[in-house]
Amino acid sequence: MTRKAAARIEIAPSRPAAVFDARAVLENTSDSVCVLDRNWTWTYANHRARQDIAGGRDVLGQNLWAMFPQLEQSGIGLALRVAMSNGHPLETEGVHPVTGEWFSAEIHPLSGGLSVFFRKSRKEEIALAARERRFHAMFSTMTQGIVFHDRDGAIIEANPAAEQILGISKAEMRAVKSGALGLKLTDENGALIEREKIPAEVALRSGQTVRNTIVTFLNRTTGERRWLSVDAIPQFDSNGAVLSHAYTLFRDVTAHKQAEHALEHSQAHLALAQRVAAVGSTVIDFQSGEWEWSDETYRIFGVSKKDFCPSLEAILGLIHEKDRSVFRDAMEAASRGVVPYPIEFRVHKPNGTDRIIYHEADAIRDRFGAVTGIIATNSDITDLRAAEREREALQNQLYHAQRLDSLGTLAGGIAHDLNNTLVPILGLSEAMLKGADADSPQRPLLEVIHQAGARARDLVRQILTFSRRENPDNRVVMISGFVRESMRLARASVPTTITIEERIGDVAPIMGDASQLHQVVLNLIANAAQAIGENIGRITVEVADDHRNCTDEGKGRSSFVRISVEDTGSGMDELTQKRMFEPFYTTRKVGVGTGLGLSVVHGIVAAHGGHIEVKSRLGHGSRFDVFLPIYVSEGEATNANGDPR
Amino acid sequence: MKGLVLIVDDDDGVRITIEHVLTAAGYKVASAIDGAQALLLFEKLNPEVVITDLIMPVQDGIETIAQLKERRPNLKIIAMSGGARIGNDNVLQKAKDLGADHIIAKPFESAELTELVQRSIGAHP
Repeated sequence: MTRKAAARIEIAPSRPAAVFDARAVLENTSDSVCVLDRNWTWTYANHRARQDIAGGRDVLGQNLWAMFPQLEQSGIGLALRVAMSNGHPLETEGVHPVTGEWFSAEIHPLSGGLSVFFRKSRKEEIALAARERRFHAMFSTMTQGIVFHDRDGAIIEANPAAEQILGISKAEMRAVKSGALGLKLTDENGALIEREKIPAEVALRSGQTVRNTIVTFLNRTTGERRWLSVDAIPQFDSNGAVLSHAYTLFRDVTAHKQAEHALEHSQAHLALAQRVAAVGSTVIDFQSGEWEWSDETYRIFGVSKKDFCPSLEAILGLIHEKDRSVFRDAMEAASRGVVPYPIEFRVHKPNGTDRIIYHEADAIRDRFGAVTGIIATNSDITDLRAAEREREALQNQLYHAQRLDSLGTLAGGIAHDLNNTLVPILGLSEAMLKGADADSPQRPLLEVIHQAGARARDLVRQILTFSRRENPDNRVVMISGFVRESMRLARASVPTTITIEERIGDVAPIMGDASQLHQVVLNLIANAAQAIGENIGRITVEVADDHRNCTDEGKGRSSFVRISVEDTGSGMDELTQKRMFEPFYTTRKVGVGTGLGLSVVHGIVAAHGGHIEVKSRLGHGSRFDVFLPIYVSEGEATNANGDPR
Repeated sequence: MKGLVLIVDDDDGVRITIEHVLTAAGYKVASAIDGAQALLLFEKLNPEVVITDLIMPVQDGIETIAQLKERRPNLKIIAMSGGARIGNDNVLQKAKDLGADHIIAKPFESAELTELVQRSIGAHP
């Protein structure tokens, strides 16, 4: 009001004595004051007006519109014209078209023109204060922590969130001359972050914004480890050239990190569990068509994440041709909500091995019960199946051995009694033959009795051989020699339609009974010839060392000599293979052969501590491998100390 | 007349056959049906040779051989068997180990047996 009064004094001609004083007052006021005549020519501008509006230029005598053409279109321009034309005072507000500042203007018509008072609006100050309050409220209540650093990194200001998150008061922060705030900051892996790597320090040094750096520290107030995501933003002075300070903005991501770690832990746990159990998982989402495989599933299928993208077609490519339909049908049924699991299929791994996969699954349904996908497990059961087969084979072998053993006991008992019975039949028929006259009609009858007795005796001897009642006469035997010998005899009894091939190598000696082993070879060749019958065929006899890691019931023998007899004959069906070593089991016609040949072979080989392996295919022939433990002399056995020869 | 041979076997047919074969060959024979009876006859008849079966009731041949050898260590004994075993050991082998001078498996040729008897008596001082 004082200024207004002063201005009015100037324009009141009735009191000229005050004009001079008024001008001095106007000159010193902080408002811009100017006077324009009717032609819009400047007739007066005080110091402030000359500075703020004219930028120090001399305005007196200049035309307003010529000097500030931008005024033409402005609100103030319009107000000036209105006041000039109607002679009424006017107040207006707005953005000053010249200074760009918010202002208020009072326009007073004069007798020969206008006087104008420009004043920076108080609204500007109010707005600034309001803005300041808004910013302060935000600064104080935001959940993110914010600290301002000076050019050296020392803390100038910090908000309450920063104090709370860091567990340090603003005063404490200010006492620390470092962006680290006196905290031991570590990165995600627990490694200490050096001072020059701290985000605020980096921002101050480089002038670059640093974003999303994860740091961890121990909150001293709560004693808990916290994780922060930190941004550091450098600040420049008003012309943007000089780095003046920086601020660090951070939020507590502990909960997020803990959840992340829990998830990682859970995933690692799952992966480890899958690894230990050797069970992989597959999740198929029907909507996206995506197949998600666990690491273990990749391993089970023998493909890498890098080279293999799971899909129905891709997986079918890995599956054995004959098993593809099983897998495809199961998938197809599952997509209809029918789950025909578990299934098994064979997979051909890229490394060339074939594995059996056990695949079990269930449907994934949405809350309406519709099938949206499949969750499945895969496990490699190749070894399990192999073990099952092996166990089955061992059970069969055991059963077979027990059966042969009980048959042997039975046969041995019968043989013993028969041998006693045969003593008078043979002995007395012989005695009677001696006493009978040459032309006695009893003689041929006695001869029949004696011959029948002799046949029975031979038969009993063979049964005893099978039942191991007769001990081998143990001597060191050079196998190749006696097998060659046996071959000579065998050739004579085998039809010429059968070729006999010899592959007899020089092998280690064994301990045994040459005559019994001779019988083994002859029986096997006879058996082979029988299998070929009247057809053209071949019998191959082979003698070779066999250094398989095979111990003989813990006796420490680990090397064997193998005698193999292979034929191109009729082969044996499963039943025959199971029963071939049983005494009196024969495939020949009644009256042809005794059915004791292979029983005798079995008995002799067993008595020698050996074993027999048989491979046979119906219509393709058979192969008998006889394994006999090699002879190790006492000295050698001691020296060798269990080391297989 | 040649020396006395004691035959020990529980099987009638075996005993009768051996008695016949040896008598025909000129030996004197006596028979027992088990080991216990054999020991009684041994004391009474003092035979030169004993031919004994091994598997018999009352007292088996193995035990009989041991007791006979105890009474007269230089007694000639021929053990015979139809091939039965005790456990895993062949009984004939066991008899030999216990001091039987000869072993023979049933059934045998008459000549085999007479030869063994002859050798046993011939060796006797």
